[in-house]
Amino acid sequence: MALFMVELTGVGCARGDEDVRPFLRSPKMLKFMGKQDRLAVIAAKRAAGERPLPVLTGLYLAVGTIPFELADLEPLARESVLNERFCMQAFSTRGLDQVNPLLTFRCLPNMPAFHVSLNLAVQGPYWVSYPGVGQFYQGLEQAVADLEAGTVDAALVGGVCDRDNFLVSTLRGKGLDTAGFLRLERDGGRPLEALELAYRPGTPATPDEHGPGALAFALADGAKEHQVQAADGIWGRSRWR
Amino acid sequence: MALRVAVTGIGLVTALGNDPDQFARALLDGQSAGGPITLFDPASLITRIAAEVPLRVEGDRKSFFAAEAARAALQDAGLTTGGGLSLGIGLDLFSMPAMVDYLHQRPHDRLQTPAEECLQALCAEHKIDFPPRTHVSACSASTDALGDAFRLVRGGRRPWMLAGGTDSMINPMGVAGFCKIRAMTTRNEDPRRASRPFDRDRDGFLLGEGAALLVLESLDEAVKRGATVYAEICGYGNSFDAYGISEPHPEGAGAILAMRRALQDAGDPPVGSVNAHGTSTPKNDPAETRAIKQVLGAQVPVSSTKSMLGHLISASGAVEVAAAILCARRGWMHPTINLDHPDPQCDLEYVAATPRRLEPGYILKNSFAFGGQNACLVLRTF
Repeated sequence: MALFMVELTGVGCARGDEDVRPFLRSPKMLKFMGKQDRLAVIAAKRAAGERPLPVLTGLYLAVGTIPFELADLEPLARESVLNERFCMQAFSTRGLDQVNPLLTFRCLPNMPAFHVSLNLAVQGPYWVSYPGVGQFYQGLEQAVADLEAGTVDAALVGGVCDRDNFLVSTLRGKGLDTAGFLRLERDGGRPLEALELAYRPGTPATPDEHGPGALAFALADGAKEHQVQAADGIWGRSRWR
Repeated sequence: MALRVAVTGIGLVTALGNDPDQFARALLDGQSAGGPITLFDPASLITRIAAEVPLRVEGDRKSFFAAEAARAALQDAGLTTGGGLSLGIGLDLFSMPAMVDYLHQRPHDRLQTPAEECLQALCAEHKIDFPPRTHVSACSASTDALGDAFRLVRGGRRPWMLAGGTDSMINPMGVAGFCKIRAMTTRNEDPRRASRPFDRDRDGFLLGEGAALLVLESLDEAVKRGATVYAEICGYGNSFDAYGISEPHPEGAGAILAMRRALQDAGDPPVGSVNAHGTSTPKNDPAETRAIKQVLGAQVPVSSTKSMLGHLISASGAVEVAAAILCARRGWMHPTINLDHPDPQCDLEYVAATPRRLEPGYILKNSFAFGGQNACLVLRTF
């Protein structure tokens, strides 16, 4: 017997450099999108599927580290030096002239949520967190609570990361670029049978191939149970019929 | 059964002081924290002013602010262990000097300080038992953090929560990024008059920094243990604009939805005042005006804390909640300073120049993020 009144009605995954254009409402938005934005939209659309989302659809999303691109930063850094050292005067004049203003839009942590909301016409509520699968599990917990309380009629729960990136890899090591999303509703799919979270700081993290959206990849592969110890100390486990 | 949720501790790090009494007095006096940027040389940037916290900090400023605010909040509440943490936090961009050294293949300082380090430090110091929650919805982040904590306590899922936000973007990349998209005021010669929400002559926001952490717990438990009850949180709602990447919906559709959700969550109480998002940007203020008018009419008094403290980005909502509560407990709404020539598009009952008497009652708090994430709280003071 299911312990929760929550069922999985869709799974969507995306990885690498998949083309987002078929998933966009307006191709004009492409120039504003970073890799996390593109992957999140693709995976969310796949999880949502062809059935329309209800008006009360919540978005619960864990994003990864901000992925500035080397190609954007090299000219900025090159023009911001004097005698090979950083120089504020050079930075604020010649350096900034090298920066594409769109860079700001591509690097904000709330932008994947914006692009998903725009392209799937989702008006929330929302829950947007950072940086990995531990926070994804907290988003899942909140989505389950909101579905059971009737605050939402459907939930898109996702995780996205861009780890094939020089800046991110200096911090967390190199990894895959991925997004994984679940569509959850109160009926019509695979029931959620168990969901547990705990905080266990200092416990070694489990391998993290698929990033914050790892649960979606596991479920897409047919798994019924998923367990993870995240690097930030959060432990999560879920079981699905 | 839903529990009533009380605010029983407030910890602050702000440009107008860290002591809650001092902070409230400064707000009621209408003091501006604007001044020249001193944390680095802004050189030829088009904006060279901000509202800095007058503290020299080794390392990551927002982490330091959060640690100080957390200690003060828990001491104020008289709680030690066994609770949870919900934090709105700005993500580090990167250190530009370190980036230059890195790209020149020289020894370099850390390029970034990951935000989760701040949470982990808070959890370790205060023996937080539950998984900490991070919120990164930009300018709505700390309002969302408080709303999330409110729901966890109301539902009996946490005994108490330390919740709020911390941020500092007064660094070369942060200021330069906002300059590049021309979001900030360029009134460099007049920093104390630079933040002017709802004024005809506003030209962008004044960047601020700081932190506010609040302790939330069951009202019954708070009364039982004799804690100071600053206020009650009664409702929370959020929404997406799903409209424009850099501008709010012109009619404030997403803001209206968030306000209505928060009010419905609180049982549709009579709202006595609004602490607005009020950024002093050309686009936010008229859109927020239209949204407030649609939901509450034009007669409810409205004020903006950002007129004095500037825009604390991810920390703004929590600091402004603290501002509204602390002033209301003294029976006042703080003023919106520099509102000298009201914009004809901004036609609400703004509390300009001097504070206004406020009866105990319900306060609506708005926070609206770049990227269309809108979060609102309903507070009640006694």
